[in-house]
Amino acid sequence: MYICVMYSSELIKGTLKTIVLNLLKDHGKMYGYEITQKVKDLTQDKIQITEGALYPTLHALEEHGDLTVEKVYIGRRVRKYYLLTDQGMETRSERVNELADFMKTMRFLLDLDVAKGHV
Amino acid sequence: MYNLTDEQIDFISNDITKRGIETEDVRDNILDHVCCIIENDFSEDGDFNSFYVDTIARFYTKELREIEVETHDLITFKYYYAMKRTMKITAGLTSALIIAGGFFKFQHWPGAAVLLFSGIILFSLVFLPLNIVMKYRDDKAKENRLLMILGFILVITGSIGVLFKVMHFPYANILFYGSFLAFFVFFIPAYFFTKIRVPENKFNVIIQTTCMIAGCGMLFALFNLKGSKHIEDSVYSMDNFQVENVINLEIQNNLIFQNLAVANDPDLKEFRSITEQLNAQINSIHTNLIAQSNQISVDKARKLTSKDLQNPNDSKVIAAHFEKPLDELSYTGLVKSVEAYNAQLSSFKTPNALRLIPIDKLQMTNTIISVVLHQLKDIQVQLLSNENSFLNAKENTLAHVDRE
Repeated sequence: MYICVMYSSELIKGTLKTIVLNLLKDHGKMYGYEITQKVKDLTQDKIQITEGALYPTLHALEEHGDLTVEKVYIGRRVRKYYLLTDQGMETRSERVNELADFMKTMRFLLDLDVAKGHV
Repeated sequence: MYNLTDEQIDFISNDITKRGIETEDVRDNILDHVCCIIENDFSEDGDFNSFYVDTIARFYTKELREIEVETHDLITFKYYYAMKRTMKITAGLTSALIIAGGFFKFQHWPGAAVLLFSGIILFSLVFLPLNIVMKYRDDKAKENRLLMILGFILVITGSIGVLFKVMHFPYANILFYGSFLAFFVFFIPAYFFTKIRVPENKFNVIIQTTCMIAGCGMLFALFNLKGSKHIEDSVYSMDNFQVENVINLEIQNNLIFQNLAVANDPDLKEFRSITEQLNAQINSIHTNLIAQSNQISVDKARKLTSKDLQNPNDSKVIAAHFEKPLDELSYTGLVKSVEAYNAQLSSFKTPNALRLIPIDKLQMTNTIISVVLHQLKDIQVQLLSNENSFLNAKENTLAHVDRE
């Protein structure tokens, strides 16, 4: 569901929720288009999130209670701003810690030394 | 930055709806997103329509509705982990309850029915339906989903059938044999021909299908299990023996009574009358139960015995035509008549004490027809034995008077 300029979709599958939750923690409220642009900018176009993956994830996070929504009416259209809830904050830290730990394990498993620039 | 007109926004909104996006929240998000892209990337001198078509195409692989379907799936299965946990707990609980229930039933301990009932209910109404939902989510292929749903539904109805059979509820056989037959005739062939097409599954499918057919065969043999022919014959011989006893006693008593008829003894006539009355009532009950069980007329049932029963294990006929009614042909009617007979016995003075019929010691309710028919013959034997004793005693007394 991703458009991945550099990485295979298998590699980053399952990290979308973590990315979204973390972005919202750092930037407060954001809307869908803004999220895709921010990810694109931050990763220098290495990761581009498709709309087909983003919106189902946002709706699911909202349904789970991790996100809340503020609607702003812009002319004839509605913009939905997503914000982290307290539960979302907790989910974010769990997810980020889990991913960090996973990356540490993978680094060890694959015998990669980041400092030496072998990645 | 390009400024979208209201008409263009309406056009986009309508097109999104036409492409199958029905949920308002999803539509609002897509509309805003498309508008943002157009506002930022579209140049005034470009072709709006072709730019829009290219933009909207970025949202999907085959059709725009994918977003709505994906959203629906994610929201519908939000309880996925809770369901998985519930499934694990019910799996353990179900196994424990059914094993314990089976063991209790085997030992005839109290509580077996409660354990079995809750175990099978949990298995068929919680564990298996949860399995359907989980597997449905995991397997996207339509035919696999249908096959899986059919299989689980048949297992659910089959296990409810087993529960009904254990608890002696009505329609147990229809539920069990119906599911069993459908499983054998529809599910196994459908499973085999659907799965065998995938080359890597071939070996496993052959093994699984063979196991299912073997399992069905063994279960069929088990459920159709009856007592051996020898045991059946021994039960019928016991019944015939008793029927012959009754007939012999009746013949013998008639002969003695005819011999004593000249004496014109009032006691003799009265004893004969109360015996005949009860004997006739027992015969009527016997005939009525056979007629009801075999669903034939009373006239046709008159000469039939246990051996002629179509279903010797029929318990429904006992409940409906012997336990529930209160008339002469019912259990209540029989008890009343036997008690009246017992009360009258004490008024007859004979050297040999006459034996009361202890009907309260016979369990004639909550049982099957062949047992009740046999018990009726037992009562008749005692009734006619009493008459035989009375007649013999009278014969001796009268002979003694003659000699004097």
